[in-house]
Amino acid sequence: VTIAHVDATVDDGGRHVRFAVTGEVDLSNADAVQEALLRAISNEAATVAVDLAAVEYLDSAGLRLLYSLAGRLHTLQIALELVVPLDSPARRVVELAGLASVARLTPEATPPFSS
Amino acid sequence: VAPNLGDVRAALRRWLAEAGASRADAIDILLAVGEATSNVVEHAYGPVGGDMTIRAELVGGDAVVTVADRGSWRAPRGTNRGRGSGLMAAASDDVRVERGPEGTTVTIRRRLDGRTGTTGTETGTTGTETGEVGS
Repeated sequence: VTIAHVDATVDDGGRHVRFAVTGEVDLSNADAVQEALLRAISNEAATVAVDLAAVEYLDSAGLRLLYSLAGRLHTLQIALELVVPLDSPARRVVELAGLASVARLTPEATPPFSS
Repeated sequence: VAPNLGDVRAALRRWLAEAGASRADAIDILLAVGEATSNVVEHAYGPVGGDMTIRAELVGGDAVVTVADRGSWRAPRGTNRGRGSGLMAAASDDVRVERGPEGTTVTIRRRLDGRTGTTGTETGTTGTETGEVGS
């Protein structure tokens, strides 16, 4: 089974949500990862950061999830930031797919995620 | 039986390490092969499933990986689908798809040269490669 872990940190009464995803994301667990992300985002959220630095594998199933997340957050006017270091598997996929058009990409986490 | 693409990746990572692939090479090859194997899982067989054969070899300085199934090809369904073949082409130097009555074989070729990603040149190559995909 493909394993991914999602850790959520919520600051400022739910306004800033930061996720750290580890492990691998493929077609077998992308839906579960998406579910874990969405459940931790409350209606109070203003910014969401997803740290993919420690993700060892991500492909089009993960992209589908990220596009879907970006679309939902856009509708709710919540800013999305993806933390993707330059030499990471997630960075490669995100750049090949042009995801920079729907989310802000940063090479490293920038705490505190300022509003 | 649920497909275990994680096992395929683990085996491929071991092979890539032995073949001397750099991190950037390995990321690309895992991605291209991951897309090819995901295609088999999602499109080749009905609910009963079927098998898939993956072979990796070093030809000159190239990693050549073939992914073969004995199913029938089916067009991608649903929203946000169909990015996989684009990624597969972008992450490799050459992708060939042979479809026949016996099944589908995808051959992925990627030079092991330790290139780093994020260059405009690679995007240029992608167009040509995409053209070669399909029968």
